[in-house]
Amino acid sequence: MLLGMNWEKTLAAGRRRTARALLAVSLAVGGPLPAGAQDSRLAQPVAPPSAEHPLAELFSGYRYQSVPVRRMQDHDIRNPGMLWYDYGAKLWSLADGEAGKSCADCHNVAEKAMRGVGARYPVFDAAEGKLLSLEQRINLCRTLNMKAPPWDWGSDELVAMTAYVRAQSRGMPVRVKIDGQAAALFEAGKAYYDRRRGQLNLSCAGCHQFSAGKKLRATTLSQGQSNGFPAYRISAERAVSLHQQFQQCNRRVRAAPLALGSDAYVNLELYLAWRGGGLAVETPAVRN
Amino acid sequence: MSRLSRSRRSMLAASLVGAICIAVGGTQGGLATMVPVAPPPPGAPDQPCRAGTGEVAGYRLSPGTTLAKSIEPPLAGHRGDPERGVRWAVSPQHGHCIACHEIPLLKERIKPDQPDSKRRFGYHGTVAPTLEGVAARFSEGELRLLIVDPRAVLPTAIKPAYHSLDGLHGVAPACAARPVLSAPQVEDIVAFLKTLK
Repeated sequence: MLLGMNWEKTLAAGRRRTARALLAVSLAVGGPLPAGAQDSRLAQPVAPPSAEHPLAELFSGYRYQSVPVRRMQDHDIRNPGMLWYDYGAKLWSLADGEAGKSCADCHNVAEKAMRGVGARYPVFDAAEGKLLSLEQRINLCRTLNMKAPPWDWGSDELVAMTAYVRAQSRGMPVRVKIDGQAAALFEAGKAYYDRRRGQLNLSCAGCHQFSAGKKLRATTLSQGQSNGFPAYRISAERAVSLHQQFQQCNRRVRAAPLALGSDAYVNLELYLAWRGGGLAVETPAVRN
Repeated sequence: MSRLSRSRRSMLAASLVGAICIAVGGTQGGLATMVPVAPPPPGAPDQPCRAGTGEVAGYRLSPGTTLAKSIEPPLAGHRGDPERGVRWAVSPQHGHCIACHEIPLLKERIKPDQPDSKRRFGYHGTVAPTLEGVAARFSEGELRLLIVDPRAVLPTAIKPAYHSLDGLHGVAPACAARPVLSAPQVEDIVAFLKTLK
């Protein structure tokens, strides 16, 4: 008996139209039933972008999540990160700043204008003369074009807009440029990655290159890829930007975290994006 | 409600399902009610780098038998307690040895009537070799060296140095100029490892 109704009698009495309508409503709202081939694709290995790569094959963090966590990411209606995506979509059309413009006024429809953008950041901006992460590019648009104050790095607004913009490249392979003026900054990011730090004297590589797939207490160590960020972290109960994740990693090895948006973190972000080149953008990913 | 016709009840059920789905899915709106995750309060018990004096005990390296080097005398003459050593070995704020090492003997401490015992002793990492029988493979001095500063014999190992400040970089201010483990804590763990024959 469900909702006080005897379903067998309902169907037998010929009210099939009602039963089918209710089933259709529940399926439409709950999303399509999980397809085995579709949700295991993200766990498959990807060939590294070049022969000179520290990893033999690339795995998204998706691979290291349990099935219930993967299911959360597989369907937008179950993915808590989509709350930030929705907020970003709302902010896209909201006028802000002295110029009285919204993102939509210049960029029109995000699905078209922002497609591919999230897959190629960070980018060396010649006009600014520096390497920019996506968050910095968004804030640059706000200050230069919208005459609006920049959003704080850890704010829901900036995480939401970054997630919304990057998610327009969902499914596309990450591909960043590390030549020209970005080359030296790429090397700086790589040096940061390989350097031991903190009271525990651990480097990013120690866990995410040499120990990926092994367990650290109860957690399976991933390759530390960035293709899903901003990601919904279950342990933080919120969507977090990549730099906030860097700060968390620093704290875990009892190292002093750097400022969000610092040059060292942007350089590291470039190195990570190259290191995960070819993985599909999964923003907003769900990670534990 | 019981006197409603079957078709009226169907429509009521359908609208209830729809209303519940909209309520769960949420309406589009700001996230002003999201509460950020607060950091732990300073000085809270069992916070890393809050315990002990932070001093590093002096020691001298001697030749080992299985390993090239060892540290023979106990640090600052402390006498280790193996039971306290178990506590440092499983605590994330202290040695947290089982973050990387399996210690099979600890599984005997999982008791059904102690709900916390599964959490404390039931999970271990696989980054590093098992510590089963480690006392049969290494001398006491070698075990001490492997905790105090394994870099002396394993320069490329991931393992931290638990009682040394040499060569550390970018340490968090709360932990600056403090070793991970105090000298008594090192001796407690050595005493515990000696029971793993």
